[in-house]
Amino acid sequence: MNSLLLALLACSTDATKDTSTDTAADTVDTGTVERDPTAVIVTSDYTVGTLSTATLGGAVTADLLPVSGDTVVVGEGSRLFLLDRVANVVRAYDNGDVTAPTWETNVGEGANPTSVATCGGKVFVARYFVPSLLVLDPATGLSVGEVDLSAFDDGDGSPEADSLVVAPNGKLYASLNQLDFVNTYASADGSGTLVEIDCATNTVSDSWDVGPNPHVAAIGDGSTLAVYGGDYFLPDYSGPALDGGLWTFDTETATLTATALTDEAVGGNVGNVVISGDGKGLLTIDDGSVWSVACFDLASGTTTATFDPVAFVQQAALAPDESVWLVQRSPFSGEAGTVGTVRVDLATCTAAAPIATTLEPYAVAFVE
Amino acid sequence: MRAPRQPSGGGTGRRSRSARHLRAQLRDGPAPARPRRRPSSARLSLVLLLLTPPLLADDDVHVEEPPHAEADAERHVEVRAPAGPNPITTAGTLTVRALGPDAPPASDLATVLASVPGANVRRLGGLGDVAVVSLRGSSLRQVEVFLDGVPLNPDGAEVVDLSELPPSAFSRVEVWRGDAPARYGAAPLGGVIDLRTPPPSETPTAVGIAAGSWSTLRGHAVTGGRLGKHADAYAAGDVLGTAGDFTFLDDAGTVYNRLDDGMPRRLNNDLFRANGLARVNVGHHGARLTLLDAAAHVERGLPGPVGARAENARYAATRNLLSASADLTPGDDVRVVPRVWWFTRSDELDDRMGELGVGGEWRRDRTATLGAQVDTTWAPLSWGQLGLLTRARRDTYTPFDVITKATDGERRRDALVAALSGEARAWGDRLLVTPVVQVNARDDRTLGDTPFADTAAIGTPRSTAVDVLPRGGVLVRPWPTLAVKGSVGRYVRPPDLFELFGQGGREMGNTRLLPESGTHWDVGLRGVRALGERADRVAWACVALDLGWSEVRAEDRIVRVQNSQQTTLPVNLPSARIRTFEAGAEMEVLDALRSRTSVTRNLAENLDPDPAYTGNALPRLPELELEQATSLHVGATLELSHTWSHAGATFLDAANVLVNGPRNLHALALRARAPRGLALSAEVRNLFDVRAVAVDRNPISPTDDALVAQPLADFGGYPLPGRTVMVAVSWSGAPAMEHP
Repeated sequence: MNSLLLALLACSTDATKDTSTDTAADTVDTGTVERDPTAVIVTSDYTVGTLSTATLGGAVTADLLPVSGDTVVVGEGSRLFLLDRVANVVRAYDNGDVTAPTWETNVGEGANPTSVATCGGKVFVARYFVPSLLVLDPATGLSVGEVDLSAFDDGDGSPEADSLVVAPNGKLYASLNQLDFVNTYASADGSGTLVEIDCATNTVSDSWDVGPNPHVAAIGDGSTLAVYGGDYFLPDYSGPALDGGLWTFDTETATLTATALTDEAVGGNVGNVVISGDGKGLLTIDDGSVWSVACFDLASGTTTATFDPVAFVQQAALAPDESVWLVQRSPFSGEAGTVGTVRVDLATCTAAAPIATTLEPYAVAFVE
Repeated sequence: MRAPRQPSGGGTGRRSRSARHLRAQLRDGPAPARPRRRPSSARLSLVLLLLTPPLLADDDVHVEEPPHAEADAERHVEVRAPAGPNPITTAGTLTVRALGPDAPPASDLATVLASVPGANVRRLGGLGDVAVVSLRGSSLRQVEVFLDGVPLNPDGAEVVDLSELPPSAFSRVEVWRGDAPARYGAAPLGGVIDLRTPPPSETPTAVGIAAGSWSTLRGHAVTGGRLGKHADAYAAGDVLGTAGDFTFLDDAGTVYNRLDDGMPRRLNNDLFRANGLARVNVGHHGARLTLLDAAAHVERGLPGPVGARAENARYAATRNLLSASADLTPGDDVRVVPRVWWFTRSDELDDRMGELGVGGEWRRDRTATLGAQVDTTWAPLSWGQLGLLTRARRDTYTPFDVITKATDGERRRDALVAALSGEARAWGDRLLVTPVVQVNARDDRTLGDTPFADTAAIGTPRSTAVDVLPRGGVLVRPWPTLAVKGSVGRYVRPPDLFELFGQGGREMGNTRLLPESGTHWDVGLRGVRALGERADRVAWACVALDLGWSEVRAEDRIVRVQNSQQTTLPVNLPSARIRTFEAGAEMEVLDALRSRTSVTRNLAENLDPDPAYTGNALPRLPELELEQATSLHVGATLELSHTWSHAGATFLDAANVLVNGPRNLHALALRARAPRGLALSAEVRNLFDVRAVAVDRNPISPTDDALVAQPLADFGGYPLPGRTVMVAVSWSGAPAMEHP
């Protein structure tokens, strides 16, 4: 009975849509065609979500695809990676078509994929609760190896790999949060780690102690990285832990440099850092319940303007036109706020009217 | 003066007789010892038996009444036919289903309730796994469950897991949809489920053992009898163990990738459950004392949903209900039933590996209720009577973190209920009106402080509240073959202590919850017809048809929503409207064929002003549910029955994005009775081994019409088992109870 049903379903799927994607696709021909950049917006009410697209001007095509309530997206040229952190699934979409993936693969039950990057002709997947990066074939999504991170395990079984950036030197950089997920949910020893990975050998080639709970993002072409983060709360949850800030990391010299933009200096947790190639940046400041946004100049290390989104800023992403898209959600405390995807002009540090979606935005990425 | 009658709508086993026995009664005539008013014709007798509300019944209808010879003679018929056509009442729609030790071996209370129109049963697996019920689209806590009239979840505290209640210990279950009679002192928006132990004269002696799929073993024993001239006792025990390791479809979360689909076994789904119940009646007609104790212990693995399977998380619960009641008739027109009860429950969740929630936890929480009530009925006039129920109750909840040895202390709520009810009859008893005014008061000043340092405590905790809840019903019988009824009322349910303060697994409390409230009205009719009946010949077939329409308008409905950590949090949903059409048909032909069909259509509309949700269907409530059961009987020795149940597709979420596919399941049961009380039975559930259903791959796309296979499930992520076979052998020392 079940075999028959599955067979019927298989026939139905194939018959109705040739774009149905088996994992055994032979090649990846993304067939890059010149097209306007598109924003892919994940919306969510935490229970469920949808995938919508928008032009950089803000025209939305809403609710194209159902996704889980905890889904993030990563754009790489014309390829979009979708990371379903509930089903622990990674999908690759090509050429702006988000209706059917090129491939889809499960990255391990309970793995919680957090980021993905293509390096050296392979796709590396950071998994929060697994002490290794998964390495996939970019054409098929099939596993071709792992990068062992168990040496950085903070005692709870995983170093909590968080974000990935590929630098011009061909190396992959991963931030390891190293949080204690057994007891405190804070950094296990007050620091985190930035690791450098040789994409050819799938091994860690170097590592550096950085501030607690670190995240990493590219500045410009990625030769310099922004490393930012910090613990969120004090151990007794009485307030924000002002132990973090923003650092820069030169991938050529392997030099970590502190900036003046520390938690203490800005008066709250530094998060969601975005820096354009010309050194203009944006970060969010919060105490766990109230968020504000500050624009800054990296060279001087000073904030140039701030505004209060009065909402929970889930993510900030740099668009191809150098604007910053803020994903603003209702704050947990239930107060009203500006909800939607908000575009910020970095030059003037002003926000446009929010882009509305059916459900609140959860994540955003850009594809060409 | 008339002796007081059972309060409004008191459904009893005597009213629950099958058409076969009703026809037998027509054929054989009334029992000689039956001291009651009789209709003048056999046909009228049949119709009235089906249509007359219980409160119009004669005086010996209540199962808790003292045994005496006349009542015993009457009840001998009842025990053989506890599952016939349902009484119609002025209160909410009542359906009575038979339980008892002769139930099919793979069936449980959830199976029985699934056959009730308007009931939506949701399972997290197979036999022994968690099963819960919603009535008329209510939330799960809007259904209150009683055991012989004693509340197991007062004010909807806790969702009662039906799998913890063995059907063998009870003779029947009464399901009140919508308005419940005042004697329950309850005001749930969904309704009341009352499990009834058999009356003293109907306690069978029976033992049985069953074995079947997934290494399942279950056994039961019930016995009862007199203890001297003025006392009787009843005891029942039930044990169930299962590995629960059925196979299920796992698509690895990849709906586009079929190559990684598999059929793994359900792990950590084992269960051991033991139940015991004992009841002693002492006294005689006019003054009787009843002591009842019902204990249960369950230990089980918590397998988690597919995709987030837990292999180590465990759960254990121990509960005990001790009740003492008296039935006093101090005068010809007064009846007083005082009752005290003490309910305790301990729940232990061991998820030290953090498989279910974020971070490890090991909790041992205790809940308790101490209650006392007096139910008085007074019938000073031949055309009416009054009832007054007063109840005081204290609920406590004591969470305890085993890892840190920390406790928030005892959280306490005191509640008072007063319900004044009346009934008036006119037009030769063809018109019946039953108004009720119920006042619920609660004192939450000792609830305690919020346990969440980062959450502001606003809203209802640490306050007092009084709710006035009027309701009432009307019943009209213009012709003997037709009865029309309607009821309307207002209902309130405060958030329970776990909803406010709970911390367990993937569920958290919310101290900002408001009470949910709502109005409910329904109308219904019942028609009965005996076919081929003449003065000199009994009918060759009997048909009964029930139709009902109800509407619920719920405000501040409490629903659980998921946060970013996949932990659910209860919140108030601004408004919802649920309209339900229910139809039930029962037929019996020539003593050999019985058929019962129930159809429920739910039109549930989310009235949340958020445009993402407004107008959407409420999650997990199928628009259409149908169950059809047909049985063939060869004399009294062989019975073959088939059941088909259909549940339409449901949305899993308030945004109506994810779909749980429709399902059609069939079951087959065979029972053969041998001499000397022996019986052999077998049951196959999910006869065609359905383990996957087809759903739209992209339900929100108007162009993608491809289908994908989805595991058969009630709850998203919790698969149901495939074909399940159970075989049982039993012995009964009393006339076998029949089942639909």
